[in-house]
Amino acid sequence: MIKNFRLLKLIAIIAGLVSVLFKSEDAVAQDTLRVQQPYLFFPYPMQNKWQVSLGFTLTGMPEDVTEEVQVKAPVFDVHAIRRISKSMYLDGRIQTQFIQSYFSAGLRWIPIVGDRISLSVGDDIAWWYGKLNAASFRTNASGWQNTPNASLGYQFNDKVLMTLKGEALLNLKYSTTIAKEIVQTQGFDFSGVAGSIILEQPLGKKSHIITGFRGQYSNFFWQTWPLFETFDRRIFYPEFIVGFVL
Amino acid sequence: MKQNLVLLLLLIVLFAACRKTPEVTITKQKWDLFENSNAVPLVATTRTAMEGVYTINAGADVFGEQLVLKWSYAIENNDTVYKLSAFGAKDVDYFLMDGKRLGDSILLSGNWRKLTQTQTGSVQLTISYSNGGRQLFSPSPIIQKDSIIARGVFGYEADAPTIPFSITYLRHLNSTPFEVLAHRAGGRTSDLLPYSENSLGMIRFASRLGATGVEIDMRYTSDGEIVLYHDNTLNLRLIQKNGLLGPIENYSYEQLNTYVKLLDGQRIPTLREALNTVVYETPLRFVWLDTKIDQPLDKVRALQQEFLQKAAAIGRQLQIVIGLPTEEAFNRLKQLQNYTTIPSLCELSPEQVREVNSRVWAPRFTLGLQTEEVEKMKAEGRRSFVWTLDEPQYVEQFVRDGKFDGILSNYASIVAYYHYAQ
Repeated sequence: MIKNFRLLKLIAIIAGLVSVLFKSEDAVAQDTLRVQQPYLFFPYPMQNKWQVSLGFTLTGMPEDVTEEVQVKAPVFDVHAIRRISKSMYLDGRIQTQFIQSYFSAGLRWIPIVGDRISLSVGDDIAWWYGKLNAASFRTNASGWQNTPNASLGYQFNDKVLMTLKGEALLNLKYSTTIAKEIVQTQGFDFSGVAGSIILEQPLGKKSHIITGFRGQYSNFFWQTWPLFETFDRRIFYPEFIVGFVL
Repeated sequence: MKQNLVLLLLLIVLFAACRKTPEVTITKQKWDLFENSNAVPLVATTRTAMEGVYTINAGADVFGEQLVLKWSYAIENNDTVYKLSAFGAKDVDYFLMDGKRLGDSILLSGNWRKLTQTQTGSVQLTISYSNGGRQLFSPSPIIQKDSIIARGVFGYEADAPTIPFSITYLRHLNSTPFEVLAHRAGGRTSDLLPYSENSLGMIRFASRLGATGVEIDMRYTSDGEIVLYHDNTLNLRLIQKNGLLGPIENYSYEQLNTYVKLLDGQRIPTLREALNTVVYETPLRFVWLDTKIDQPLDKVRALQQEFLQKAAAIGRQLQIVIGLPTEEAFNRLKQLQNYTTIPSLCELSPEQVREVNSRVWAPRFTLGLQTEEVEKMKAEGRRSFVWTLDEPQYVEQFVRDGKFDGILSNYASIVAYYHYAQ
């Protein structure tokens, strides 16, 4: 009950701030969206058949999980969108640290809602895999996740696109193997939620940059599998996102 | 644009600030019957006879199919305090109860906690005369399947207990020799136990969690005192905010004792205080001194000898071993005189175990069961412990399929459950 209350409070605060954002930009708000730059997160029909970005993400690991082993390794991030129709898109993403990788693919539906606001709803299926064979650590792990999601977009001006994205995180399957003989598996579990705020804008004359923050509040995060964390409670994982649109 | 970025930053700060700090609050429920002036402590024969594996009849949806019941003692304020612990597999369930006799019945009152979560509550149980009291009160109790039934109620958090809960005796505890070793003196601070890790309070509490031994982390202060502390540096994961930063080795014992408090308010203990607590205030029979120091081990060795003698003098069967987790610690041990006679525990290769004649070999669990090597150690008169095993599924597999003589865990209670229920 308390958890739900705090979540509702958080959503209310963010909604309030977003309304301030909208209000603060009323003077430059447009009657209709005129998006003429490339983007990946922004929920609006795309002109291009393909859109790809390259970048990285960096996640702050909670001390409860990592203790003093603070691994600050960026994750290489490839994000691609494929237009199927004006309102349907394929959304794929590969995130890798080489010893562990996360592959996701899903559908995104983008209805035209209004002049100022754009929306999308989607659902992604992801498979992740990790392997560590070093000295006294001989393990590998993999899992399936499902993330239904929704995005809300707002265009500040001709150049800056802001996207707020919410995700529900569902673990479909998780398994680890240790020294080829010990195996652990786990089935379906509602792991938690995630919220992102993403800005997409020009960088110089020809480039476009994506910057964002994603907060995940869940009882599992794929990058922490080698730590074999045991907490069955939701933990906050802040993630910074940087990408360059190709 | 600048305004947008400022607002983005504000949102990020806000989001981060909304992090929930988990808490576990144990609320003791008053039970008038239990507080009755005619209620008296249970005698030793009754306590021992109650220990066993129990089937959960009512409440299995919350606590699983079975519980292991085991008594432990600790010296609290110069008084020997007995408590009944119950360990379960589902969510690493754990109960801690007081027991009394009132007339012909046994009353059990206490609390439960799911150790991997933050969920807690209270529990009150009664064993009536006809449901086991008669056997338990006899001078030579004979306990068999179904001969004890404890009935009562449990509740969540601070709510009064009203939900039916009952357990029935199934069988005796597995009596195969085995060490249930509690990591960091009992468990991690991040698991929200009543005491901080590597503290005197946690050492006293370890046997309540089913531990027969503890692993503690040793570090030197700048003036050569050996203290218990895990991390390389003072940090807010383990201590209260005080402005001190950096390696613990940079501070004198007096500075640490004056300015530093663990998260639960206790002071960082010295190794001498810790061993004194083990010997005189707990039933623990094994101490694993984890060497996180890069100085000679002669002081550690001296304390080890002193407390082994003190334990022997009061008839305690206690083993204290110097842990060798690294090549450096291994070489430090070899610098001591007659090092092959010093009780040690080696985490390195089996060859190195033999080289320093360690009493215990302790490989990491990610190397697997290593049954052949464990059997060889056994044939040589050595024991093998595996570390640090926390996932219940892995603990079950190592207990069921492995040949290890002990398991080190942050959740001693789950190791105790699988070992005693086997």
